[in-house]
Amino acid sequence: MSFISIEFAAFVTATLAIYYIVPSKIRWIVLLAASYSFYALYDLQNLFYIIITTITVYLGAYLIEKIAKRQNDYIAANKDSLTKEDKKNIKASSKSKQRFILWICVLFNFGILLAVKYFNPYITSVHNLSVAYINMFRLNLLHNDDFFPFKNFIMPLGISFYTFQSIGYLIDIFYGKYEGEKNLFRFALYVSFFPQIIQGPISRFGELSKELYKGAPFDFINIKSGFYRVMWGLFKKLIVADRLGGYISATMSMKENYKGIYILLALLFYSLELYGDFSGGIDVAIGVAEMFGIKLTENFQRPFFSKSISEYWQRWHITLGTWFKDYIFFPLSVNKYMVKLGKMLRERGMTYCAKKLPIYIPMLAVWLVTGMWHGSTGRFVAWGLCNFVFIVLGTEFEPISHKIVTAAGLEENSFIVRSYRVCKTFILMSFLRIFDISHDTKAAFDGVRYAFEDWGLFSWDNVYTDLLLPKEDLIVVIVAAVIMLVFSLIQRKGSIRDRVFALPATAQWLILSLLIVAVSVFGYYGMGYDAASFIYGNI
Amino acid sequence: MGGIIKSDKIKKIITAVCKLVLIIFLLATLNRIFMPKYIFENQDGRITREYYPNAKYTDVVFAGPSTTLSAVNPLVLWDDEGISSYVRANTSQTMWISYYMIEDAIKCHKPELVCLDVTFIKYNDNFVEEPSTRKALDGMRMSSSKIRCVLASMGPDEKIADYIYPLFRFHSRWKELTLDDFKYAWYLKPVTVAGYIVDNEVDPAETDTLIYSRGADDRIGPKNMDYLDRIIRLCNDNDIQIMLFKTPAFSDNWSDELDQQIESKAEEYGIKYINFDTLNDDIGLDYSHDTPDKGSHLNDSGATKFSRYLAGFIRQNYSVTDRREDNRFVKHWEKLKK
Repeated sequence: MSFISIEFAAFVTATLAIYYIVPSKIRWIVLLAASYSFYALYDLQNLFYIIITTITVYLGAYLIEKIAKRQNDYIAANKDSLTKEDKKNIKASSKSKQRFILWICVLFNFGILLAVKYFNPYITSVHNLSVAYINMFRLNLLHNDDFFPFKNFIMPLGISFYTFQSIGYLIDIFYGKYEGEKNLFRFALYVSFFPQIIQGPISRFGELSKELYKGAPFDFINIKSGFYRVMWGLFKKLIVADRLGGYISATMSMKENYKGIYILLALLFYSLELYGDFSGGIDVAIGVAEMFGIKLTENFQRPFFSKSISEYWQRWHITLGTWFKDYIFFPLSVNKYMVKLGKMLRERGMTYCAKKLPIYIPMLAVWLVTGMWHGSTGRFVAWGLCNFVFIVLGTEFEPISHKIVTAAGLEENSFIVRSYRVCKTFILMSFLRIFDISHDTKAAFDGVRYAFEDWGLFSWDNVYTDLLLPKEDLIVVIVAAVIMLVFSLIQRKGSIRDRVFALPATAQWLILSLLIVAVSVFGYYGMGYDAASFIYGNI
Repeated sequence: MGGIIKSDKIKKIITAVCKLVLIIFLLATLNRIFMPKYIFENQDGRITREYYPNAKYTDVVFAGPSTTLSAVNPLVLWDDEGISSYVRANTSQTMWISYYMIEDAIKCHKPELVCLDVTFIKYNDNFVEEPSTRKALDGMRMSSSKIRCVLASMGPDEKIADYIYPLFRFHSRWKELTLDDFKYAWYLKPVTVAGYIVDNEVDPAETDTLIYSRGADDRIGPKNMDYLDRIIRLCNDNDIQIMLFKTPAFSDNWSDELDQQIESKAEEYGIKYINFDTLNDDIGLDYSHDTPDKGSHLNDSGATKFSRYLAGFIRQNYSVTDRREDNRFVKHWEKLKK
């Protein structure tokens, strides 16, 4: 069952009806049943993985808390007889046990993620070899399909998202940020909450648990507001994103014939496609959750209006960025080796390096992991490295850039300078996306080279015919993309939906009708179209 | 105070209902605008829709594929024998679609006779042709028969929601919409005469001898056979006479084996099966004039000859009321003639 289907709409409607009929105390059970049903309907095999992650993380958190409690109880019971040193030793010993459990859980769950994400082809090969071996000796003991239970991993839906969310919870428990969930089933809901399972946002337990278990009372405004958000998500996904996919794949697969402006257009379109697809999917997730009276964390904050790449990454896929920052960047940057490195460099008079390296090294690690998170091939690692290099260059050259602006007699906050920086960031980020739409690193670099060749050979007729973007579709996509970006701009001054709801009822209905008509008519869906999958749903 | 609260509540409910009605009207209008109108071409797409105003005047229902709709002219049946009929046929209409067309017809108005053209039984059970299915079913009123018919006819890429709300299928027509799509969104003038579409083209057959060339081992698929069974039982259960026939065509895409299987099925139920190919001389068909496509179908001249013969055949072999004395029917057919 896809997010973009009548079946999903019916599923949400039925779940909403049951959710608001049952007493508020047990509403979370309805959500849990719905989440597991949704997950099982995608592929029954999925359930195996999510149950394993739920149980291991729950047990891990339980043990970590138990060790902490035992330690505290012991210290409290023997506070008079224990010296400061004893207490310190007991705490260190407990922490070491907790760390051991944490690492076991982290390695186990990331191991599953790595196995399904990166080693699928190898496991399939092992399976095929084994079957061939058995057949050679005519041992018909096992049916081919049953022989190796893990052959042909179908990547479980949203495994990256729920694994990160669960591990984040475990790390927070390790640091004692909040009390762990005692009820396994309630915790299972936190891991599997269906609107966010496909592509996030990656929520934190401290925030989401309050929303999930409260059993919000029925409020029509939640339904209305959620519905608007869902429709807006569909607008972005179905009218903008899905309409551009054909042109991008056609151009990149024939890039030797369609160079220059064709490739630049593909890069521009891909930025729009990815934003429409991903943020549209998030809008659907947040909108659906809102109908249940549950507020999810926002994942985008007008990324196309960022003035630098580092700012862009604070506004794009925010929940993943903060996850990396909190659970990789910060622990690495305060790690004793980093501290030692800083100290050593300072002692040798390399003050500048002592200040920068303990930041850049963890940042490099974050970008390598980010690249790997996005995909299992080298081009994603290259993409992560390029992001890192651009961010470092941006940071290092910032003073020079300021000097140039000042020398030109301009204000840093002036419209021209801001526009320049926004355009520069957008262009650089669009270029970096070439790793996404090329089949390997070499093809990506070829793509960059081709982008600057044969500019004179551009013809719109080729775009309309060979490159699968008919003129009428191009017009629709331009108008819709402009609407999307203008709305982003308006959003800076507050929620658009709040403004709409302040309008007279007739105007509200008119806007809603227009939205419904636009999505129904101009949406890229139905027979012959593939609107079912989300780009980030495959991560 | 209580009265004010109550009237406020009523006001809110009325407003909500009005909004809901408006949304439904908007969505229905959109649907109507985007659905193909079949005014100037593919007019067979209108046959199903145009049946309903004719239902109460239908004593004989013809069901079958394009061969039926090009061969049976209900106007001739009316003029010659006072038989009031409707052709519920469509291009590539499979046996299962025919079954549900008949079931739907019985629900609207019980006919006296059902005439089933079995020509399409020769195709295999997996036959799917989305455009034809759509032409046959988009005009069908919403009922359990329609839903079951869709489920029986859909291809693997199709979705039932696209049939329940056809805008999901036809929304991409926004590029080709014309003024006619808006003009005829809610009202369409009839283009068929009781399901018959006039075709005056002439494209003679290339030979003058008809020899069936399908293989000797030509078994009817289980799904086709099952629906043939179900159609006969449906008619029997409703006390409706049924005739199985194959419309005349100068096409070699048929076999004696098929005839034998249908004949034995007809015998099993004690009903008639007539392959009108064997009566070409009696009907007077001349495939150098009477076909628009080298013999696959009949044109208007061929349809007139065949319908004349068919009218006499039905009158002789079945009990169907002669409605020429019934003013209601006379007026109806006069209107259709205009």
